[in-house]
Amino acid sequence: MKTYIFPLLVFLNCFYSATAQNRFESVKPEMVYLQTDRNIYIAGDNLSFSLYLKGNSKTMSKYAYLILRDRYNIPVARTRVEIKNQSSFGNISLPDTLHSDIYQLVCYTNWMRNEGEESCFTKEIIIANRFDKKLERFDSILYTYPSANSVNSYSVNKAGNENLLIQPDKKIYNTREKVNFSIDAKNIHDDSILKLSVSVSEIVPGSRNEPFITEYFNNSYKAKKEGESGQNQYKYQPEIKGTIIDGRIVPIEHSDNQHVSGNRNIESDTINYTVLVSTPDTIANMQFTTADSSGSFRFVLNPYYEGKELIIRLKENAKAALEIDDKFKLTKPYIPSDLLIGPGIRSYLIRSLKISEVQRYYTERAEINIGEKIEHNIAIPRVYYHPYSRVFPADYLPLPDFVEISRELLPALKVRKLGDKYISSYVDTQNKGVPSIEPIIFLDGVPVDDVNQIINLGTNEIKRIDLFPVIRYYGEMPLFGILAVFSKKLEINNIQFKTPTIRYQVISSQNFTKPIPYIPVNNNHLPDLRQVLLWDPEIKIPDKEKLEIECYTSDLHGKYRISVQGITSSGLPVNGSAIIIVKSKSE
Amino acid sequence: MKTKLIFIYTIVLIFTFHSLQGQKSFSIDNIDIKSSELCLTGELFTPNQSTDAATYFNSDWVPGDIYLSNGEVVRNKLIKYNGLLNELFWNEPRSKNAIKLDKEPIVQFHFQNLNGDTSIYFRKIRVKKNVLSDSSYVFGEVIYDKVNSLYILHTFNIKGTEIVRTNGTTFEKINYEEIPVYVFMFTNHKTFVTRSLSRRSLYSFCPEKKDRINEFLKENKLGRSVNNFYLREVAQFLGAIIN
Repeated sequence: MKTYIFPLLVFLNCFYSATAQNRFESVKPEMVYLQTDRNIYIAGDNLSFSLYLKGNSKTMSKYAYLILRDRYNIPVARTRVEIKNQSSFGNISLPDTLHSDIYQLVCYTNWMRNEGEESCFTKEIIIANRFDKKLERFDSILYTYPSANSVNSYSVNKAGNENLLIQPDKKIYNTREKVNFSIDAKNIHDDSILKLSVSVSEIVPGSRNEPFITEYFNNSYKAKKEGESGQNQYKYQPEIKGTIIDGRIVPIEHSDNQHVSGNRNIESDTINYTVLVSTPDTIANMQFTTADSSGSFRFVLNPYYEGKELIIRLKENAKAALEIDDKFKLTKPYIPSDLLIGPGIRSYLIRSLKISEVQRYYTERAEINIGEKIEHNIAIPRVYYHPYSRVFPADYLPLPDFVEISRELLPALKVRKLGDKYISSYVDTQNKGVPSIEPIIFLDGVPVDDVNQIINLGTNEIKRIDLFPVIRYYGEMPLFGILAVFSKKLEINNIQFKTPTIRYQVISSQNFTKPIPYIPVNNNHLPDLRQVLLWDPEIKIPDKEKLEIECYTSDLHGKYRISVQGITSSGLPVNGSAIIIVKSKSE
Repeated sequence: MKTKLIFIYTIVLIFTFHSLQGQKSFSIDNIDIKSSELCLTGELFTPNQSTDAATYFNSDWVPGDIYLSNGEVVRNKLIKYNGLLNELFWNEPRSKNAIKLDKEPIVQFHFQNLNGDTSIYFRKIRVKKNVLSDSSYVFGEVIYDKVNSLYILHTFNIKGTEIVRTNGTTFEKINYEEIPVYVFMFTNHKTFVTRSLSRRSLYSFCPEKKDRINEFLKENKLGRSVNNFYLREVAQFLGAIIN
């Protein structure tokens, strides 16, 4: 009997561990890595990027936020990208008014914000303004641009932990020659599919090597393990299912102690306020949530609202304002490093400006190809489908205001004056003892406070009226009748809400975009001054196959780095690189 | 020896706890989000007369899942279906009111466990019940759903009336009887709607295949009780002769 006790105990222990592990399906810390097509741009160029996310594949964030900011912490570009199979790619169109300087790309997920801004991926790039001929910002030692023969003048060291083998068909190419290179994944001890991005771009002299994806993920992971703070409270949630909107109700101090009738004091209130979300539309739409006792609220935004301007308001009146969390807000100042500024940068920039100038004369700007479009199965959060009755006031004689319209055209609805205000109610609804409760009123699809806000709308302003003289439920929210008024000129924009309200523009994810690959044309006499020979962010290698890739050299001689980075479907970062030299035929 | 084993076990247990604590992450279940709760929409159900309990597919509220047209599923809501009204009702948890749900966003619903049966699905289908009426959306119980499909519409006919006296009030109560309607849908978009699975109605469906119908009915013993197994066989057979 005793001999069975120990195995039994061990079994129980293993069983407990396994079930506990399962129960604690953890939301691991996430890490983002961003690869750009190059490090130096001219204002007005397109910055192409690919992004990789490491984390728990089951609970991985759906979105990443990308900000390009200047040294004064002012964002010059910002976007949101959708992550699919741990990766994403896209473009940022750099405004051509940017001044010459070093800028910082910051990339993170909402979940990463819990770890502070230090955990965000950052990368510096240089942007030169094409009218800035002096480039005084980069006034280091003027360095003569090296010839292709001076091999040691570049920082061309290969990363030590490369696990992809990149083999170009030769080392030195002529201008306008086809470059073939293979990507060999035989060193990857992982059977999953590889998702890679490939860049073949001119090496910037004097700049230091930035960490590749393998190095970055490994080092960051170690740092995170060491620096774990044991934090149990998470302010920001992972956006697994969709966009998360965080907000809070902030009490407003009235200096003159004036008391607004009907307003509640949020500080002393214990009720949970209802937050209504909607957008102007021809359909009455709404999403709602309840704030907690501290006034904070959070909800997963219905995909229908992506990219739209929301009207977020409290259902109840309160001496308060609404604050919505800005996901693009970076508080820590950015201090540019000297990572990119080395000898030769200025002359390289001057050369790049000249190239850009020539390209503007002769060639068109590289076209951007919109790849797979991001599509969601969108269902409008409709409050109702078919109204009991629908009235088009234009079908009748003109009436000056809503009081007249209700009297003449809407027999089920009664609008009467009480003091200096109007109140509305449905006649003979199912209210059963609660006839005084006003119906919920929508103007242009958005719930408003009461009938006084639409009282001045007459036949000339109103397009259609939908009526629901019955008690309806929207989720668990009872609606004691619905009156939906749709105006001709979006009158909702002229409404002053009595309850705390905020208008909030939801950012939508950009589409997956990449530049159209260069295809040579026979007998083309126009100059080809591409500094990026290839940028392809969506290469897939199934089953460790060897992949052959081709591109074409331009008229620019120099050294180019083939940089391949990516991630396997099981989350293993991979990278590899090779250097090629382009010489003109005369050299 | 026993003490040693207990000591070793304790060490292993402590190690396990320690390693679990070391994760410093939290369960996904703890993510407290008042989710985008796909709101079920509907109207407070206040019938003029009390609805005959016999016309409900399930007389008690049963937990069920409602599948919406956008692909989302609203899970674990107390629901019941009335075949006479062809309406799905939701027991709103706060007020305990019966809400007649809007049909438009609903694709199908599923009773999680109805008297031990976990396989009952109802799907919204568009059918033309008779020659005179327009086609309309109805909820049909899914009996067979492969290449071809078979649904049962739980419809009711008036059986008769009786005078009932309740609480001093006398009123005329209508008694209903359930008349199931079988809706066969085939891959060639042909639909066969019938109230009976008799030889004659099968002939009317496919008059040129009378021999095969006879053979099928002979093999499957005409007159046996119509259960779901038999209905599936009929659906398979009709699918085979029509395609």
